[in-house]
Amino acid sequence: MTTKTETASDCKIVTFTLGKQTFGIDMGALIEIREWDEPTPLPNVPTFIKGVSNLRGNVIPVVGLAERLGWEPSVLHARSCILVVSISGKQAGFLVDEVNDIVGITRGEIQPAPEVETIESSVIDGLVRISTRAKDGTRDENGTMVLLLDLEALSLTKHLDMAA
Amino acid sequence: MSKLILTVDDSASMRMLLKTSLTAQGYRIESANDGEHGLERMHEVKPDLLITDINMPKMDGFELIEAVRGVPQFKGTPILVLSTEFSDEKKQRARSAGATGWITKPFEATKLGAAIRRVCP
Amino acid sequence: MSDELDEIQAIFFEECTEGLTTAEQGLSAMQAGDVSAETIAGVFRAVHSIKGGAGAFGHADLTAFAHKFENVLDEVRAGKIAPTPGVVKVMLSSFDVLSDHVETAKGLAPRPNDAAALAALEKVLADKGADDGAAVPAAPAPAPAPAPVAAAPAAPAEDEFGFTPVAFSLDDFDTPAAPAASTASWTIRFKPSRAALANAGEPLLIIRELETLGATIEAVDVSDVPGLRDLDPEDAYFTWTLSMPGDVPQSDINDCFDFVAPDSLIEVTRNEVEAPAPAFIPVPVIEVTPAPEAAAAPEIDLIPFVPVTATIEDLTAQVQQVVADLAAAPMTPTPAPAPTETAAPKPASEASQTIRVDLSKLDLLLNLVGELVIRNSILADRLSPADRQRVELPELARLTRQIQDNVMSLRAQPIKQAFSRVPRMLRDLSVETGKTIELETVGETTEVDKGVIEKIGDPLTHMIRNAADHGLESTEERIAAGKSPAGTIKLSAEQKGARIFVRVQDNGRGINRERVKAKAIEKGIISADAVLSNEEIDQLICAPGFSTAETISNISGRGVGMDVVRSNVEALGGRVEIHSVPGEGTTFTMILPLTLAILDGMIVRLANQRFVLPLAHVLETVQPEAGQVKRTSPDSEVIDMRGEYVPVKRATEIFGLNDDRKVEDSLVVIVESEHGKVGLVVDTIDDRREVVIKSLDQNLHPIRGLGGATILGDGSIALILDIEALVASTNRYTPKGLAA
Repeated sequence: MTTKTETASDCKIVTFTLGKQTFGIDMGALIEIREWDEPTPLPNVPTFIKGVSNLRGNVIPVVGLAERLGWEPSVLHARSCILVVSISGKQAGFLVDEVNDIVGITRGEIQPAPEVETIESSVIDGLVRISTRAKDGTRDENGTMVLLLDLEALSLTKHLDMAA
Repeated sequence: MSKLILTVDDSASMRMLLKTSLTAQGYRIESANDGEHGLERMHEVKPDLLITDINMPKMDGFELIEAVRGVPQFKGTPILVLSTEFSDEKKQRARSAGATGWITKPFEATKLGAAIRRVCP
Repeated sequence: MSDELDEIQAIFFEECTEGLTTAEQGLSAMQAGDVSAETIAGVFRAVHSIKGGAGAFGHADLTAFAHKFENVLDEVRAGKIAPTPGVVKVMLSSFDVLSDHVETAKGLAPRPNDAAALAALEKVLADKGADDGAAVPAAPAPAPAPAPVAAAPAAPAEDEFGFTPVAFSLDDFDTPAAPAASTASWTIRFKPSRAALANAGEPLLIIRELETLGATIEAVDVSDVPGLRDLDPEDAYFTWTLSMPGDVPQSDINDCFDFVAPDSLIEVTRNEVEAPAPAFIPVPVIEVTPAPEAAAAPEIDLIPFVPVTATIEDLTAQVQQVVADLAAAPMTPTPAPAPTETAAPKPASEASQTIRVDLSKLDLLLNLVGELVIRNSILADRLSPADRQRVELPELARLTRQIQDNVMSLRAQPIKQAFSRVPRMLRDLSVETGKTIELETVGETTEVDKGVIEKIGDPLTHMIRNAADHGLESTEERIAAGKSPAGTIKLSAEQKGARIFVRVQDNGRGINRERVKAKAIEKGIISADAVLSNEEIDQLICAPGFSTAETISNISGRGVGMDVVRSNVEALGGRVEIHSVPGEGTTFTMILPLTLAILDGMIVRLANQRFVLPLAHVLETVQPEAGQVKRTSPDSEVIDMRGEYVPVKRATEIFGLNDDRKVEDSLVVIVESEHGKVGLVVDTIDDRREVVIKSLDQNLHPIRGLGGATILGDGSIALILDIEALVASTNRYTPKGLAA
């Protein structure tokens, strides 16, 4: 991150990957990042709900985010982890392939999401290009395109009909 | 050893008020929440003084006093009634039952202390 | 001291709430014709206790009102005032004012206007209940006169001690005509009575107390002492004469005799120097207890009340500390953190001491304790078997479990609290609508999560208002329809599995579906050609902006309707069901989650996954013998239970779990709900224990077939089966398969 970006940034996002795509969510919604732990499966729920886990005494649903977004299910591996987020007071864990970074961005950098990018474009708040650290410590000046997720739109209670 | 007082009142706040103000005056306090319980506690703790309310469920204060006086061992135990009632008729009943004295609620801690010392040096 | 008093006062307010509930139940019973001595005594005692505590905490208005109310109750109790419907009505409205006074004392409401109620009570006292007040058209049949209560009060003249009390006021003596000169003195003559001695009134203590005031014994008259043969050691024979300096107030002297009057001989005479002792002028000193007015005055120096909010945070910090210690140094015994002042400010270990705590803090505590339990078992796993057997670990586990049990029980409260304001509301509604409404309450002791109780208040109010206003017909309509003139509203609560059912049932006209549908079309809620079932039409009542009343009534038409009920209940993770029969009445049922209820559960394994069966539904467990389970069709089985065939369900059918175990190697748990019985095939039964129900609604949404989830001791989650849904689904359950 350059100093310039840092001073100008007005919000922080957590970036992570699903397959080859990089996503970002608002840092404010993040509660914690946990290792993958097999959740307790639930009956009669859409397949993207992997089950429920115990988060400090709270029973929270664990969601296969890739499937939720309509992509191929994530394959579990060593860096698989769960982003625990709070959406309108409800907590949920999202299974992601790898957590990358915490990045400061400015609202002005966010571009509207193109309609055709995903099946359900409403879950994408917008796009933002960030510069990424390469393995040798230099910066990739082309940067990476990050899809910012609209967590409200991902709210699980919106899928009551699917679950019933 | 400081004097041991058994307080019998169905109101927890009243029991606590009594305990707080009497403990501060150097008494040891045991309590019971109705007449029946009070009678049991009398036998268990054998207090130097009994302070009882009148209006209580199960066994009221009058019955408790009578029952306590009926036990030879407690014949000489002073009994104070602590009640919001103040009619002569009620006091007379308490006296007939065997009460030593009567204090009208609400009580003032120092006056209560003086009243206790009057029956239980 | 102030903290202690605040806490005690908080307890007093809790007692007020209980007392008010008791009084209201008693008064309602009296209204219904139960004027037994017990009922009346119960109401009296409740009001009396409120008065007593109010006096102690300096709530003068509350004390004064309770006092007047108590006077009437005392007369009723003594049989001097008959509890006629008119008198009971006055008492009921006095009860309402008393409740308002309690709110005022809590600092939650401005002082109520109690003038009318006081006047009504005064009138009852003055009339001795002879005048039955204004006609009460809807009142029940006149109640029978009560039997005289307890022993008939002895009139003072019949005093068994032969002593007739004489009215006496301290004021007559407290202001002597001339300032007491040091030369003036008091002469006191005192002869204790036999009764005082019998009551453990030790005369020497009184003499000693007089001496501390400055008295000296002038003479002891022993002339009454009989010969030894006639001497009764329990009788009193001595008469003391004491002299007391004149500057000692007479009230102080009177105080000394407080307990021995009136049956003892007490003479207090003032000797002025100018007129030396003119023999004795006996003044009977009989009464030194405060006059009624004085009883109402606060006598304890009080610090203004501030509601107690416990600093549970400190406690949770300790729990966290314990968790941290356990995790950080599992092999080192850690001394328990020393209790801090804030964690244990309690003045006395009283059995029924209470404290008010923020719910979110309780939740936090519960979650932390859950963590503690889990760390505990992890720690146990890491220890060698030998270390595991040492006494510390089982002890730690036991203590942790006890903490957990206790914390769990903290949130549950009887639903009575939510129901408590209904009777008064109905009394008001009865007046507003001119309808006679009887209330029936069932299941008040059902324990519900405190948060749920607090949140169902508003929906409940709406449902009751709706039932009174729209559900019940007018008295004329009811008579015309051949129904009893009084309408009934039945309020009930019951727990079924992980859900609580709260019903408001009226025996009114039922839902007029024609009109509801017409209204819905008119309001654009449904299209004119919509084809709806009866149930769907009934549900329209809960549609936003719907109101069927021709005129917006003052009662339920305050711009909000049943749609608010529905949204409130749904916000709680529940739902509203409506059942109506034309001409017979309507039932509204709130089905709510017991977010933190505790369930007595059987922990079973289904296809090696753990589930909880609510024990209340379990009838028995059998190990099926060969042939006991019979296939009745390719996908249905029954078990022969002593000749009764009970449908059998397998995990595979229910949840699409992989279950290839033979039924003979399994156990069949027979469960029952109101829909019937089902035999559930399980692998094993692991345990039987109380579990905390964690609602799935909290972070997800309700799932059919599940009543919630619970966290087991090892931190894993077990799903709680909803037996109701399970049994109901027999033969029509469509397995969807588990998410893999």
